[in-house]
Amino acid sequence: MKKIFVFVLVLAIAVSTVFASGSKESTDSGKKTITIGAESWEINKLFLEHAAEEFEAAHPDVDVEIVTIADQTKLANYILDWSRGSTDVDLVFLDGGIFSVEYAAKDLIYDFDKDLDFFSDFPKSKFTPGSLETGFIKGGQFCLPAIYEVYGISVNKAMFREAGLLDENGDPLPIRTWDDFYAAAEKLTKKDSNGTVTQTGGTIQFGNNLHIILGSAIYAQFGDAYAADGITYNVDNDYVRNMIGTWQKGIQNGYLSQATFVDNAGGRNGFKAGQIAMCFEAAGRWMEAIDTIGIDNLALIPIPGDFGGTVCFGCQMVIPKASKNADIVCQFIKEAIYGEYSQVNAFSQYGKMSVIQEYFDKALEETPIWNGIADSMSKAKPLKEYEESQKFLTGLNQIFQGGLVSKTTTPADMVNQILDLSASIRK
Amino acid sequence: MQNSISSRKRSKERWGKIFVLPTCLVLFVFVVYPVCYTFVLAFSKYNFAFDRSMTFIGVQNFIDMFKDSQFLTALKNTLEFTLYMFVILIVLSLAIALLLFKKKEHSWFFRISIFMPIVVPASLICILFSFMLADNFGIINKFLMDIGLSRFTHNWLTDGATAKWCVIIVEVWGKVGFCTILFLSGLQNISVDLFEAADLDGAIGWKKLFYIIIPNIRETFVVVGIWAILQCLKLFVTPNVLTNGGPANSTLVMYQNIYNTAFNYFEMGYAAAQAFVLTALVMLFSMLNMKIGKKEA
Repeated sequence: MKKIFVFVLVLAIAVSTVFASGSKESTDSGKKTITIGAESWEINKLFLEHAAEEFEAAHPDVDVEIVTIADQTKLANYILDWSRGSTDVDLVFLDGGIFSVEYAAKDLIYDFDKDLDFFSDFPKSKFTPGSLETGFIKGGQFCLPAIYEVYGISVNKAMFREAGLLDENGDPLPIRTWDDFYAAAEKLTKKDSNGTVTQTGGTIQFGNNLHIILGSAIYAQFGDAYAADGITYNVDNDYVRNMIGTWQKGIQNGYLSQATFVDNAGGRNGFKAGQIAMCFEAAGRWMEAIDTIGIDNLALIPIPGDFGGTVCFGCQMVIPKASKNADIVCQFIKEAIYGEYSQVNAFSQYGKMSVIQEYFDKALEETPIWNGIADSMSKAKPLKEYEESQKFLTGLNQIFQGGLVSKTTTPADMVNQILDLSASIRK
Repeated sequence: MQNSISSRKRSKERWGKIFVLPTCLVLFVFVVYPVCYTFVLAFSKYNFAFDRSMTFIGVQNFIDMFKDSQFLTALKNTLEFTLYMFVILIVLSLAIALLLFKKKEHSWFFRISIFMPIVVPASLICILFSFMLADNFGIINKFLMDIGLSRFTHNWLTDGATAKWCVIIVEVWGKVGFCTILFLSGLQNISVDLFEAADLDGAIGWKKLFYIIIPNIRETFVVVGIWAILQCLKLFVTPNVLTNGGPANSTLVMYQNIYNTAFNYFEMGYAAAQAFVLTALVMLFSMLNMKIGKKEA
């Protein structure tokens, strides 16, 4: 009897262990469940919970579950999962198309155009120019942008005023070249009697988005980020060498912050804290500083360059082919993600630009500061995503973080290193 | 009678095997099989995202590794971190343990204080330190400026040389408590008679430390040593969160490089080969530590 009891106990433990992590299917009530995976900032700033509630109210037979993804590196796990034809998410938010290349290469995600016919009742003309292109990866619409962002320079007008860099209307004096940018950074930097920097002129995102910084700076000058081959960054020219030279001088003289070398948010946090006067990264950063600096002390200026354009990138959505709910997810995107509430509020509250033209215009009326870069926004274009984008980005980080502080590395050396790096990776 | 005993013994053995079987199964699925599979991967070229299948390339991954500047930097940094952190951890934790051993009043307060960092998640510790050490708005630079020592402010995390020491300090701060507790338990196991005899013989201070205490806690040394070596070699969270391996790879360690190679670049074969080198290092250092411990014994 004792033996039988022990045997049954062991069997029960084994069976419960095996089935403890059982898969989630339709609930007993017959409702269908769609699961959305997103990072916490995406859940908050894109109003995903509101979108879910809105969709559930309109479709009582559907439950929308939102799961938090810790960070984008966790996405690698999805490759394993989706390769085996299983998934615990039906829609995933990616912090840029860069993360979708591997999925597309392995044919793990749907092409919204060819596979799902997404645009048959949701015409492409609804989208703001350039935004849809941010999700066009490797010849297919494998991603759809939930919102998009452009690059620009957020400025602290109080500091500009103190440095005499505002015009008679109270607007920042134009910064047309990288030499102008350097000169402004120099004027905006304050040092104490020991030579310690107490206020930094500017910050450039030399961390996780360095490829966009480089690409947008080249694009702003030439109207195209690429060389004649159409895929290599157009860096082998005097303009880029001079530009890198000014960045190098700025870093070495303490006019530009090094914070983004190790902390992606280091530069913008310094800007928000009122310690840095100019912040060259995603243009929406100015909105994050409203509470600390005040809306009247904030402005946006375009990236220096003759062409005057900028680069855009999107927070992308992908649907794994392993999902059985692609049709409902498409409906969710059309009705909730591309609905007025999410699109207008993401833009007007967080600077995450609406991809739907109608709501873009509406939100723009509420936040006129964006008009400071209206011209460059109208010329916004996405960069191409390399197959080995991550390797390219890591390589760029090393080149810039090493070269910008080095007394012996010249801008020409750095350009050569970029060209070597570019030649070594799979595009 | 004899038959009954042996049949009971056989029955016991059978039940023993049945009970051990699930553990063996779990070990096989989650340890033996992955290790074997990783071994095969280490000799293959396989990009998980872009290659359809593995291609056997012999020892090419291991040859490439020693031509790869990124891997060599990570290896060098790992060995440097291990050397410094190991020495600091052992010396500091022993010193604190000796102080706690001697101090009897309110010792609970000091013990809890020293152990506290262990229960704080490593990533949280790193985030807090990254705020404190930030160039522009960090509390450390701000404090130095406020007390008129602005010439000592520094870009702690963005200067490669100081970033390394920041990683070491944060790691030691987080781990010293555990080593201290181990040493303390070792010290408490030393017979009081030995101390009394030493006192009678006039052994005080350093003499007591080197001739009584250290020889009597050599087993603790081996345990703490192996633990510390493992912690140092598998350093990952602190450089990953605090400095992201930067600036310019100055704090990149092997674990992080393996992680990036596998899960950012999807080069599974190359990452597996690097993982085997790290495993070999861990084993080498652990054996060395045990050998030194035995020799001293």
